[in-house]
Amino acid sequence: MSKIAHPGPILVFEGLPAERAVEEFASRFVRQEILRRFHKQIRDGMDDRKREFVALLTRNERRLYGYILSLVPDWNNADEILQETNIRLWEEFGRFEQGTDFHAWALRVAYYQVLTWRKNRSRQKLIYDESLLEEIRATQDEMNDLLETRRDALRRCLEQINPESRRLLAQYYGEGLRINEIAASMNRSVQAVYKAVQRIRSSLHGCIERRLRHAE
Amino acid sequence: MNSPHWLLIHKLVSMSLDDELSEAGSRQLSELLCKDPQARCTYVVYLQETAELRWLSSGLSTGEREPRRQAGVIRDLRNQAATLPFSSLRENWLVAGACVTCIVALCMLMVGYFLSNKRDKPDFAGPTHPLQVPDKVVGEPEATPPSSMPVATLTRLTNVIWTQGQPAPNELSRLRVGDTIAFDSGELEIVFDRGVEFLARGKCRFRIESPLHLVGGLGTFSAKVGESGRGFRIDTPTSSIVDRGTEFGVSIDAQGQTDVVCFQGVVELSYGPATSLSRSGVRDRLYQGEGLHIGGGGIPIRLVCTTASELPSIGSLRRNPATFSPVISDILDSLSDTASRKSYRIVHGGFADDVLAFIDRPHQWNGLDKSGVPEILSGCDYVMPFNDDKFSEEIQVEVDIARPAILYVLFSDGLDPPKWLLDQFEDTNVDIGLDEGRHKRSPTSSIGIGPGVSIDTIFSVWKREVAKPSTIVLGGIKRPENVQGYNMYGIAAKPLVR
Repeated sequence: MSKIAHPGPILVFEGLPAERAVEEFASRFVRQEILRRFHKQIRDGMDDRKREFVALLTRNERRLYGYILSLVPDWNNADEILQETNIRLWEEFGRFEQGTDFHAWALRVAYYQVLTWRKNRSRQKLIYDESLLEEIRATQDEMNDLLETRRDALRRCLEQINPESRRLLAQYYGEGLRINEIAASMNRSVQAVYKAVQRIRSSLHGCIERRLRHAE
Repeated sequence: MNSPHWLLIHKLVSMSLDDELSEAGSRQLSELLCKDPQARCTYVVYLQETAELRWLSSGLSTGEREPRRQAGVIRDLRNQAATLPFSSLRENWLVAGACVTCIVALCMLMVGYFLSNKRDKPDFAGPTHPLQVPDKVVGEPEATPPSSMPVATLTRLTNVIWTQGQPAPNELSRLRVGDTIAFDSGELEIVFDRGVEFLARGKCRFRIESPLHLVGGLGTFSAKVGESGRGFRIDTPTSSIVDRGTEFGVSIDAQGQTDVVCFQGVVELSYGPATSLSRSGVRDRLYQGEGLHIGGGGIPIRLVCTTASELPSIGSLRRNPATFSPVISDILDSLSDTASRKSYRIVHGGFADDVLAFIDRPHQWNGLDKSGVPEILSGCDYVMPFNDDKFSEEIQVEVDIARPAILYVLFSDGLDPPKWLLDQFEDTNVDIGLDEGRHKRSPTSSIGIGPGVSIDTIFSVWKREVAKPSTIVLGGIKRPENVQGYNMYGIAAKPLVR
């Protein structure tokens, strides 16, 4: 499967009403039975429960994505698992108790989606065994609060980097281009681009560490 | 949080995301995460940051937090969904985009999208298509000769103050044959297209002659050369240095005198008086750990000692050097210049887990357990001696201490302490480990990462107080009987605090 550059889970269809955006996308990428089911719900309109789900997922989807990516460090696969997880969360939302920890519940669902995905992909190159997956999952759980603090710090630190570096990050992480593709587009050597990305990440990491230390 | 594994994790994960990770790399990553809880923490943090960068990157390419293109969709979405309890109003555009995603995700799957072989570039990536080759390289001087060939990329600038009247290229700008780089202070890093990492520091002036050739007039330079960069050459007023794999450092002063150190591998060297260099330079070789000072007359003498801060290697820069006045200022030994060209390395304030112990071995110092190097040694100045000096039983090593200090000798528990150690030092009862890497006498040894991993030999930490700036003389090691392998001692020091 060739790597596909795409913006990840965030999709925007400029100028289209949301329903039309749904149809436009559905016409291209559809699991028909799911589409029929959810189209009915869209036509029925968004009730409070759906709004609540959208709000909860919006608040937690980024952390969920990071969680999945740590278990499956591959853009395409992580995106796919996130979509499956979102679907599963919606399908199971009726069983979610209001007021309980949505994030913890979502992580559990995501974890089992990862396990399901693994069963169909045993010949993939990077497959952590289940005991390691469990260790990573446990580490994530222990670091939950710290990770949220670090995310805030990262956003602050990003404001300090120069426009060229931001463009490079956008190409590599936002558009999913490979290093050699970016190098070709910038007329730079692969090693130069790799070093530049490493430098930017190292700089961001150092900035985050300093912010956390000052906050202590 | 200390992150000794950060660089390795960045490398392996980047390769995985690029679909370039080999089976061996996969195993390496899995094993690292299995064995080391700290590595797992670093890994989790790294992946979360990566995910966050991906999430945020859609707005980064335009430099805007709320791309105008999304306004219409956001408006429609908000009208349909009425009021939603967003957690943060600062990222409205992102939250709104995520809401659209949620609606789409509720309705359909992207399975068919992932099976597509086509790459779709979303319009909101920015007004300029990301694959469009820029018309003008950022920072490119206006008067570039049309025949000059781009051969390198300037990848980092740190506090550079450019020399007046000289070009001031930006980060990520291309450098070409014929370019002259001159700056009065700071540090810059260049990556040559042929795989050479090059660092210039301090007051510098140099010119790019070809894809693998520089002429240096002044400054401190380090070069790390990959396979495709073999033959990388730096000319100075009194010498010509050619790398034959892999890393060396050069320092040129205002009089054209040159210091050369081979950090790793081999370099070929020509030297002679500046006026005759091009005609008949003397050919020589420097091996790992060896250094020469070449004076204005082209006569070389042994470069006994260098400091990592004055003549850094590329690898040493991955640690943030402490900036305080040195405790260990110089090292001399009793070996004659004709008998040795070895050059000690002093690293100020850098003692930590996984630091190289010796100039001529890959061995590293490590704490015996996960708590890391002993507190008394953490952050010390330390010296990288030559492990092979263990065979010089009569050697005398003079350590210049620049201010009141505690001087430490790290001595192997497998050896009987010599008289000079027993007379001048006391055993602190603190131990440290040596992680021995592969070398000709032990071809199967391997290096671990982090404290308490792969410890091969235990050393005791001996100390003495040095009440005022002094020169302390250390002795040699008597060759043990019935012992297969043994190691030279280590040297460290920190300020004396009363």
